[in-house]
Amino acid sequence: MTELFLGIDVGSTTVKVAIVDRNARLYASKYVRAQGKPVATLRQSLEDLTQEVDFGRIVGTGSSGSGGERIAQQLGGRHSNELVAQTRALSAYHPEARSVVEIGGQDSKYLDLEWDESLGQLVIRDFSMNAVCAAGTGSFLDHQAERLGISIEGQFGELAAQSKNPARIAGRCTVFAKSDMIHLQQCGAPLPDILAGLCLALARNFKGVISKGKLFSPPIVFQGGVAYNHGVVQAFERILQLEPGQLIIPERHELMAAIGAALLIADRLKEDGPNPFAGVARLDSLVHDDESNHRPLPALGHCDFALPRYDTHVTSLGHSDLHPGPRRKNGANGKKNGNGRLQPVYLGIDVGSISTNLVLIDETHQVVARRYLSTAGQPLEAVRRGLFEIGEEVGKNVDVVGIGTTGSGRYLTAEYVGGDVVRNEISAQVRAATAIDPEVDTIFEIGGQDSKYIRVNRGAVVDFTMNNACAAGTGSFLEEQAERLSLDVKSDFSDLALKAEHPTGLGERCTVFMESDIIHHQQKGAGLDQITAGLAYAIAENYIHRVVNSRPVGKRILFQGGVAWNQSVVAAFQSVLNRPVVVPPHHDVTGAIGVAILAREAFEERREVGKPIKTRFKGFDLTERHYDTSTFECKACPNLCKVSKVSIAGESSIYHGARCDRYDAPRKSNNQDAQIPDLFAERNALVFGDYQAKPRSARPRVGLPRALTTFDLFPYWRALFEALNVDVVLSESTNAQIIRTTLEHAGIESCLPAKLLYGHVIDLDTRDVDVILLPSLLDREDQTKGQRESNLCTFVAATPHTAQGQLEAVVRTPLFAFPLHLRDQATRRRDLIRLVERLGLSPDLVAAADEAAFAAHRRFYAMIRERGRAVLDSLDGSIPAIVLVGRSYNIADAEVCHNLPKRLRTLGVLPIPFDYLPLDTVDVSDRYKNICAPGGAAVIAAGIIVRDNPLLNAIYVNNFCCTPDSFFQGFFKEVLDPKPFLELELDEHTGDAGVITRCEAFLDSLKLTSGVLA
Amino acid sequence: MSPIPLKDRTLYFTGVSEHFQAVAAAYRAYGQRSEAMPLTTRESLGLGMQAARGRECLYFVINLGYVLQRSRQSDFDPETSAIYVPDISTKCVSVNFGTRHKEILAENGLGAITIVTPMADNDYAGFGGRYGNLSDLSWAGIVGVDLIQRLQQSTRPYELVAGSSNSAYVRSLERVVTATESGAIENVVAAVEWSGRQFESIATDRSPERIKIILIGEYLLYNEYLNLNLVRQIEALGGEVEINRYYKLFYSIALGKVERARNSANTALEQELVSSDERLRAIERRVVEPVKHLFTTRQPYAAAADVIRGYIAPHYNPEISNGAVDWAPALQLADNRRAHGVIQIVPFLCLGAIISASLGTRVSHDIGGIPWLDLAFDAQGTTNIRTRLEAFMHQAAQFQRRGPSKQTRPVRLGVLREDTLV
Repeated sequence: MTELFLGIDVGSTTVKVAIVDRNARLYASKYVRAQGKPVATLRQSLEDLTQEVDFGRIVGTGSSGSGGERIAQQLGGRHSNELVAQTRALSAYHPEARSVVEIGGQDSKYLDLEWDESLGQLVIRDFSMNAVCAAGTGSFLDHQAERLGISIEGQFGELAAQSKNPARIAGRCTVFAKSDMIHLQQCGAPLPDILAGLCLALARNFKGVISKGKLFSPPIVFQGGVAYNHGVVQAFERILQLEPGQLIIPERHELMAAIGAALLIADRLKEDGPNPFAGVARLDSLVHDDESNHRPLPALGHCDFALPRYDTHVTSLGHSDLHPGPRRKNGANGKKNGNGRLQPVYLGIDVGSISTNLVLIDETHQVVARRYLSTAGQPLEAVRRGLFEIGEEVGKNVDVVGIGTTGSGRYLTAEYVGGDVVRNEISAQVRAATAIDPEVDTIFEIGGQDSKYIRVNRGAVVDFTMNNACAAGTGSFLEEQAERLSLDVKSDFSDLALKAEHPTGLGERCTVFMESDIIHHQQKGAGLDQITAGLAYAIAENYIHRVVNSRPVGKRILFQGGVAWNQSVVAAFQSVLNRPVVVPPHHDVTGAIGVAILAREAFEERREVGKPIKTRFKGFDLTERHYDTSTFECKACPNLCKVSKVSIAGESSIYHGARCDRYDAPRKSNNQDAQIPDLFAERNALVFGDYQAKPRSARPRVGLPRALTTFDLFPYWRALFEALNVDVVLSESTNAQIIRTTLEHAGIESCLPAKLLYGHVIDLDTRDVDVILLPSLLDREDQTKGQRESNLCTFVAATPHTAQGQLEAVVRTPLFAFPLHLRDQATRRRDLIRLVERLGLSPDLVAAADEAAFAAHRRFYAMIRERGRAVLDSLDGSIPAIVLVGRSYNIADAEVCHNLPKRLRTLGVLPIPFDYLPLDTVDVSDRYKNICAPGGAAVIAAGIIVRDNPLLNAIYVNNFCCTPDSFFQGFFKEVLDPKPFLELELDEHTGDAGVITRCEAFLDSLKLTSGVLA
Repeated sequence: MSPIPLKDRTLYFTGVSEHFQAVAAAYRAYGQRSEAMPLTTRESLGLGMQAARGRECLYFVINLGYVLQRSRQSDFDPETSAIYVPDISTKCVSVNFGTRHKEILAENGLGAITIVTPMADNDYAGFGGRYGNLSDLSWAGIVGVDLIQRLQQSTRPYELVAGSSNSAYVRSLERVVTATESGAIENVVAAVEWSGRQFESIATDRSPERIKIILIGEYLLYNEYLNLNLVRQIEALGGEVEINRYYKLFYSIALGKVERARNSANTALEQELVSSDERLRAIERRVVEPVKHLFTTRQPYAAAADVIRGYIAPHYNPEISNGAVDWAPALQLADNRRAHGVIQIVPFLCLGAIISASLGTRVSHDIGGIPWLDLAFDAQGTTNIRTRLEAFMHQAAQFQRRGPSKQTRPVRLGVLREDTLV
């Protein structure tokens, strides 16, 4: 009788079992989702398999996967590393494989294989796995599928494969991708395009981050659970430039590690001897094993402060007592007044990522009716349903006299329902909070995708911040984890968590890390109660440390947003802060209440000035108000924006998603931005002048990436090469295509502006240049007074070298990274001599060329400083002025800064580039003797100038992974104090809505603050 | 000994490794009340993370945590305390550490603590008139601690009695620190010699040959808590580890400055820097000498500046040097076939290490495709490290068996080459 071998692969999300013979013939198998209970799932799977195969034939057991080792110990088998096991299985089924893409639940792997003749097997030549990030893994897709309510098995891939026009979605981080997806949903992008965009994001992320710029040698195998997904298969074919079908997908791709583990046991049978299966009962002790090496936290159930009671039927907002009170006698509840007239009400609609909330309030701010609905990826459907239900409930008795909309879908919703007032969600939350408790000093608001901290002083916002591209302290994380654990987040979760005597310490960290930790603790045997309590703590700790950061937390704290439903999170906040945290009535719809109040106030203001307005409300029943959504790629410029078009019957269409105002004109007709000077366009004109790539001539032709220091130094380079009789060709402005190629090829975990060098190099490769120059700027002249040195950030100096090292095998054009010391003339000229020698030119030209170039460089700075002086002199307070502080490569590159200057001008603000300020007149050395990059000194100098000029305020633009900025922002805050500033962390994600929200809220905040001070 | 300016304060060294015990001892030798803080704990790390912004490099967070933890102890008085926050290099964000520490400590009611920020630029001068002697003594102590750590790592995998190497290390550390506190470099040399005998006396069995793994990277190399006891994990998987020297950091700074002086044609400065570098290397040779014979399969001394430059230059500008300076010892050993794999530790958001990691694949190609693994650490526990280590050790074992390969560069993406098919 043929001897059989049992292979078990216990991964992060699934359990795989395979029974094979020594020739890799598969006898039986199981592939089951573990639902957080890997051992129990395995036990059941083995039980099931005993019905199919005689386990008495099993002579060896091998395990693999992150949870496989203790299984092997228990069953008396041998544990194998999963990469080694997968390689072994490939030796049996696909010995021709040379590169492997393996994507499982939490892990993604790239394998570079070669055939070893002496072993007669494939061996690993190189590999990489996801390290501190789970983007590019199966759970990334799982989460998005759950959010969209579609099945990951089958439906996801089938829909994605239908897309002809995949949406642009960032893949670097799960959170960024999620934000993009939500934005696309709210803009009405078709589902197949979103799904295909997710698949492409995953594939791009794999290539850029998991394989880290390593190249793929064909034949390429794609395996792991995600290989089931046709959309991802297509995405990899596209990203790896393969013809359909060239990607090899093993027949049992999901079982490869389990099969390999079994075959490795078969290989060792002579050495180890037979080892019959020990029986499934051996797993029982693991199923019930409750030992985990976690760090226990205080029990949430023993919290010193009272937990909220939830009652959705109350109408009172609480006012002074903050607790649900009895219904008011007058008004409310949607009843006609005594005289039979309809009750005047204001409608507030808050369209968020997870929920869509609608409220009607009366003129005393009492809630007349409310709805809390799931957005479910279809915001207008949710709004339509909510309005209809409220109309059925109270529509006959009320007169809607004004409507406010807020939330990330506020503009689209306003167009659809006939909204009158559109306000950002921060301002709306504050307005509701101060209506609930006029003495409130701190607001925690945690919703599906956003977390907000707002500090209030007598009704005025004095500080606020939002989660910066991190979902660790948000509701969606909690929901996803609850679903993964098969728990109802609203009831079971909290009940379980409050019972835990020893909550598991999960740390405060990125969502993805935490998920890995949960799996790890579960596999170690931590109970659900401990995990849920740990998650409640994790949300609170993440929120406090990453959102609130070092900002003060007051004594009257209101906890708003959907997450406040969760008593265990409230208890965790109280435990960590050691003070009461109050959850007000209607905490889950405070955004809608707030914007309804703001609408009422706007109407009253207009009445008071004798210019009353009439609502545009379209009515409660919008079932006949049909709309269609479609998406197209605008080809008007290289950005190739994915524009979503919402067509409402009989009305002009609404467009979203364009980076420019090409499609916005009908909605924003006030044209106030046209009256505000565009200093960023002026700056770009001064940098790039009338540059146009010349046709190929007899002169040498060099390519220069339009990235990093080019935004400062192009006048220098242009004059230099002109004097050297060399044509210079710039890469295209950063656009969607350049970002895409960057993400595919940049194998460095730097900030986006540095990574973009890769995309610009690839762009230049298509522009018929003799060599692509990659200047590594090491230092430059002082931008402020009093600095010991002016060295550039190490990423700026080093990325030209890393790009050259990683892209040489990708591009055809020769690359040349060279150092440039701008600060000292003699050193600079020595650098230039090496450069011109490389170009085959005479070094005799260098001195004159450098002189001309440096003069152009100085002229550029003189011009922007002069223009800056004139702008500052012209300020009179009639137009608010905001200085964009950062680096030229993140504020002057429109794509990198999400067209922030344009957006601010649309909001009626004059944005000023920070280097228009007289930075060179400021001495920062009394406190900051030596900043590691000149950008840092400039940031501090800009802070001092903004602080001292009452007509200026600041937005600080930075990028994820900018280590220097983590220090500079602290310094900036110190020098600017007490003036508030807005911090915007911008990246390759397309979360334009978040940028607008932050800007609007910041502007509101400035107004409120100045009101109180006056 | 010369008086020290901080005579009314205790100077705390907030380093991430036990090398700082020797540095504190050297300062005590010169009359400065000094104390090296204990190595990272969960509590100290947690305090640092709470107080920092969250995006600072890990080194800053770790150091901040030490200070906050120490400040909670009853015998700590901010008025009589100072912390040592060296300005390591202008190519690194560490130049901002002192200022940011001051701000955050002030926010936490610890504004009275003096921050001492000597600079690499002036050889960390500023402590009394004989700082050069103090600097030399500190250096000797650092080299001494480094040597006994290396002896521990070269002995432990082969010891017959479990724990004997660790015990020898504890005894040796105490001996080296005490010798440093005596103020005489010759005593440090004697302590190292004594330590060498301790390790020599440990019974070992050196067969079969273990897989030799070179561990390079930044500061986390020397902190078991933060690197999840990586050395022991590798040893448990059949490896023997050689960690790059802690003090290579100083050679790296020197290299960058020499390169810069050379690029600027500042011959006088270049000569001065070279002399300074040579002085450090002379002390290193003096301290290593009594145990040199114990490093037959390892590099007894740090790689010379020209060797480092030679390994870096094909890929990278030696003037920047951060991170890449670590390649030299690894590649030197690999070139000599005394290494079978290289692991580079990449602390989260560490500029130098991130850059170095991005070139690891290219560098490993230079020497026959030695397995190369970059491990990113965020100091909060990396749960899939084991999987990667296992696969890497498997890969290193293959390299040990087969030796360097004459590999071709991978084909260009999207261009399928038929000749690669089996």
